[in-house]
Amino acid sequence: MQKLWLNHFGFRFDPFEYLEASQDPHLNRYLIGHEAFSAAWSETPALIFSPPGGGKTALRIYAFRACWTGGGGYQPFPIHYHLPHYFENSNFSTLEDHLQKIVHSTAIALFLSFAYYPLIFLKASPSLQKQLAQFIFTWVPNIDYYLEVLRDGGPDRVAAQLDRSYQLHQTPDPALLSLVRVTLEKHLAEEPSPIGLSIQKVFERLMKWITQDLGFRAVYLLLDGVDGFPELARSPGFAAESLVNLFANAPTWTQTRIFLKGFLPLEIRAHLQARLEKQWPAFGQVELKWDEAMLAELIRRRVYAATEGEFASLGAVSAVPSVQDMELELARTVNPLPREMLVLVRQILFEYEKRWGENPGAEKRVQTEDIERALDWYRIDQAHITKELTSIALGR
Amino acid sequence: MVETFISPSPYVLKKFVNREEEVKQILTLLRQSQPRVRAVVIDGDRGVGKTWLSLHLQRTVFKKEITGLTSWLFSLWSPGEHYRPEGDKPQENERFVREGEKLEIDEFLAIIVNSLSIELPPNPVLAEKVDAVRRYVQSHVDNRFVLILDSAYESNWSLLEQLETHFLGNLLTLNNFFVIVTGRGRPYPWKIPFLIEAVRFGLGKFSVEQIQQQLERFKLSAILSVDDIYNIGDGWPIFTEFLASAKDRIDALDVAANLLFAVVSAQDRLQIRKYFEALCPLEGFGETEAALMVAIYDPNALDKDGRDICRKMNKTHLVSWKDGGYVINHPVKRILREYLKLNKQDDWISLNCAAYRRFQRQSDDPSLTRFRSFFESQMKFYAGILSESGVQDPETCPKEKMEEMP
Repeated sequence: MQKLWLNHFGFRFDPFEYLEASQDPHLNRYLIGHEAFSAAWSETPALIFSPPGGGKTALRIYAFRACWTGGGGYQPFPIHYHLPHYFENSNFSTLEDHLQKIVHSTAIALFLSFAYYPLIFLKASPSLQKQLAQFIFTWVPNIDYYLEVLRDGGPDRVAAQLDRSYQLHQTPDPALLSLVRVTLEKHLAEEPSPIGLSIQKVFERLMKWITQDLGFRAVYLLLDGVDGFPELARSPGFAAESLVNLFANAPTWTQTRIFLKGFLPLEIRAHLQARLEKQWPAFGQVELKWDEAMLAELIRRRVYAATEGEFASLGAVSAVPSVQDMELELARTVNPLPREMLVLVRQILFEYEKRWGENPGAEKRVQTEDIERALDWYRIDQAHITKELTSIALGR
Repeated sequence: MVETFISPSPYVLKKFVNREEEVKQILTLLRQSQPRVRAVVIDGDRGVGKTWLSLHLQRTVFKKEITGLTSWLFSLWSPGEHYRPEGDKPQENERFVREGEKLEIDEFLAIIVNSLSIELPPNPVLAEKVDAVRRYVQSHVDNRFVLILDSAYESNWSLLEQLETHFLGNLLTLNNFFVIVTGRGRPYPWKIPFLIEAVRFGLGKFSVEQIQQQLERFKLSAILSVDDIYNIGDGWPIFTEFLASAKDRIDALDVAANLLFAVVSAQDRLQIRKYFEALCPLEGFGETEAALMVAIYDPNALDKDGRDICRKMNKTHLVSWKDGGYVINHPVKRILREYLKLNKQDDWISLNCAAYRRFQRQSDDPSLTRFRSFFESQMKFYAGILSESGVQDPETCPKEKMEEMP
């Protein structure tokens, strides 16, 4: 599809393009659900529950990018702890197992933060620069390769290879980025200092660097992907057992301004609560629930942002009478999950473009037939997942 | 419709009336030791006094009420080629964007950097300038820094995007940095949590007593009564000084409408105003209604396409999207309706006839049966207006104009 509709309808970008939140550079313009965001953003440990496709990852990415808006300020430093990244080393039974992976992700987070916001690194003392560089080299294998990618393609391309969640879709000042790269390369050529610290000590040192030496207000550890990990997804009890040692530490970590945020599947909640009886009240908790009104709003916000506020409904460019709430009517026909709503809207635009392409003299408006065709497609082609999603959404 | 050249007065303290509540709210926020919220968003329609309030805060309140406060006022959009709310003399820490001008982030930062006498590294890049400002603000913990962005929604959104990405998102993480944003029309979809969670309030209209106070402070004696001025201008402060000089109600409405459309460039003003006049009888409209009503009101209009009409109206920020349709800002709608009723009665009747017929057609549409009661209530509404205008039976409204419907 050429996306002629962008021009026909006056959209500056396609707000329905990405079903996967990390790829959407405009995600932070259309937040839905302030309560959930407050939990993700506030300085408390938090548990955010939802079914698959319910917006956990979008909210995690949203919180991550919110930390970086205006980069280099007195923000929290966000670290993704995305479990499916550790598929090959999937032992999560002890705190140390988790710390091992968190330290690895922190190395990526630091490396990319220096790439996106070079001043964070360049303002650090030379000795800290050296320590940070050596830490990154120890924990990010093939760093020389990534430095090359950084030189040729910029931070977005490196993030795409290391962990797409870190993509900020921003370009740093080339001169400053070059200075960071040169400094890192200089340290790469040096003999690394021997490291004999326990993983616990490495973690503590890292957190101190971030919150004290680099001047960040706090650290946000953003855990996600339990339902993307087959072993954990199959058994909520096992998943809870695997996470309990990590979450048990979360209340204590707040004293050093480390805040653990779990973006978790709903089914795990009771299992986790049973194992964290003492710590449970320390967590801010919220459940991401989608109803028809919120799904309709999800589309309206996207239309609004993409048209720079000219209108906030596809109804504005359709032949549907304005008395009909087009988004709400669409929301009533899909499974109550954001991804489903986006899939349907994309199909409507596809049907419009297909029809218009066959008759370019036609009016540049979404017609009822486009909507009906998309709905037919949705009912037939998506039927195989419809049943499953409905039962997930309804918590059965 | 004779267009008169009109230019509202620039801000002068002795002419400023009220806004004590809003000023109090802002001062309370600024005086908190650890304010969680550090952004204020003020919205309101054209003429409600957002720019005057911004100037009042910048030039009077902040200087008088809080020590150790540095503030900047950037008015990001021109309210018309002849209106200079800031007066003729440029003042420190202020920048008013004029018609056709574009403010770049580098100039914006230069004003801030210079006002703080910050030393920058040689040939600094954007990030270094922002970093230097942040370090300065961070190192002056006992001081307060306030940035006022006036007419932000109406401005170039690409500048807002740059400001939030490179500057606001950074500075707002500090406890002693605040931003006050004013705007009308379509709100900018912020991505910064601090602005998403901003304190928001709309500026209310004036009471009859406040309009009276305005007349006194402007030293004006009006031909119209204060009540008339209040009713015609609907309590919007910008109208008062002009309505005071109007010789009668018809003249007053024309003057008020001219004032509202002063925000549109001179070459488009007449045409755009016709679009607004054509659509003012409707509470809300879409592209179809836009094409229909404009064709009826102005058969020679250049735009036949509803989308083009809506886009042009949208650019004025005198219309916004609300509840599934375009809605003309309240004072504009109100003034134009009154103007047409008194000045162009035949047009007023034919537009209301068209609206009546439009809802009648929808009411008869079998695919829209579930909305029938809504359409019928609208038909009743327009029948009432027609009756007030002397058309007792709306069924006498011509049907043929409906065939012009696109």
